[in-house]
Amino acid sequence: MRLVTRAAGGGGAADDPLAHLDALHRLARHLTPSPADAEDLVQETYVRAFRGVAGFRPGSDLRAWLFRILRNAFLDARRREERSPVDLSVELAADAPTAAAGEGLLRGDAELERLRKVVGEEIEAALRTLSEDGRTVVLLDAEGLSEAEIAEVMNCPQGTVKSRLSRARMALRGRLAEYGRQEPP
Amino acid sequence: MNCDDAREQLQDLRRGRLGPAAATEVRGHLAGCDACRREDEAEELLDRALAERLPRHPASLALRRRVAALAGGEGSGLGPGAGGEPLRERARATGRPRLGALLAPAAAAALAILSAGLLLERHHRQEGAGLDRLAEEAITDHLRLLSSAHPLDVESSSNHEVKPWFEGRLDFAPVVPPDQGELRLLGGAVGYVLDRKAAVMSYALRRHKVTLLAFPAAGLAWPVADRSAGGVPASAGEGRGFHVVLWRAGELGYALVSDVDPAELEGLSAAMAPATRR
Repeated sequence: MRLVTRAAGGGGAADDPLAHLDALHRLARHLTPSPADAEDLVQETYVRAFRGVAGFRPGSDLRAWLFRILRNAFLDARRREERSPVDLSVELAADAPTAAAGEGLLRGDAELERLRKVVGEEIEAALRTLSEDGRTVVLLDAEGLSEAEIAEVMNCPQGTVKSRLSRARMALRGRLAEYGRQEPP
Repeated sequence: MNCDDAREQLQDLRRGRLGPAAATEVRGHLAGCDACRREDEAEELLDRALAERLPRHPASLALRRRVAALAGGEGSGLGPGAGGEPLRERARATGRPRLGALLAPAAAAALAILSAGLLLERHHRQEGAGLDRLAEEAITDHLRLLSSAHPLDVESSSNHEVKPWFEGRLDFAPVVPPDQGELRLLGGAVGYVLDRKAAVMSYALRRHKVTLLAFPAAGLAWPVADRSAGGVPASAGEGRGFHVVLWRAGELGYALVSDVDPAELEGLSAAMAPATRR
């Protein structure tokens, strides 16, 4: 089961910008720690979308276009805050050690058992430990976007999406396995 | 097929992206390899955990209403999949949906919302009627500030604190007018006017909010001045119950927006505009 079925085709609700409000809000909540900031981010997304509607290519994927606007708005906001200049290559590298650590944590049936028991709060906590890139690619994949659509959102080649997704999911599994090891016997 | 090859394609197999021959080959490998089968199961369990257990965080009713208000819709009845119709109906009522029929459904839906009231940029360009583009943009920015949960990046009643805060965040130096009479400075933020960054200064006038925007004016079609703001040539616009006064100060443009009485807003602009030219 996917978070959202692959509805983005021609016609119907998928072609209504407001039909994607929940999905945009969901991604925003995982990008920003504050619910209020997430709402502002979604609102900013729609303002930019309405403003830039002339730049939308008829026939292209509206949902991916909106996600891309949201992500760019998020990155712009972070740059404005100047908490830390956004360097995606550095961020991405941050997932790599976790992935390597994940390899050595719970193996085999122990990991499967752990994944069967994992709860929502743990998944959210594990997602927060990923880089922004890692979180975004995992969540967009879970939303049902194709690699081509994710590549459009993240403005990178499709092959890069595949490697980022693989690395981020491995890191996520590593984190979830860590939580399992911290559980009392 | 070795394990590395198989694992590279597990994701594609689960997502149905492999052709029949490749899928058969990967399945064949899985049938004979416990380690890869376990890996596939772990990835499947992660898929399920993300789909079924990750909190879904639906948008709040307040956010739905804010987005609907931005789009010029009715708001309270807006829900997933149901938001477009009232807006489209409204667009039809304005007699401006024809261009939308020439576009793909997605663009048409977006254009219907556009037509319904948020941005009239295209409408102005094509029909030359209604609010001035800048005034409409200023009102939209003011509305965004009013409806934002965190409207200000810096909260201060001192223009000596707000003005330095903009340094390094903008490539121009706006004038931040101080308190005047009942007008109280609340703080500032960085926003956008059309395609460029803007200094956003927020004030309170009794129970009203007043927004002053400062932005580079180069390349903008500036409205013809038809009045004076303290001796500075200015123009005025209005829309959706808000009033706007616009003036130029060198390379910068300023827009003062509020729902206060237009005469009172012009009085405020008369006090501010000369200061922005110094």
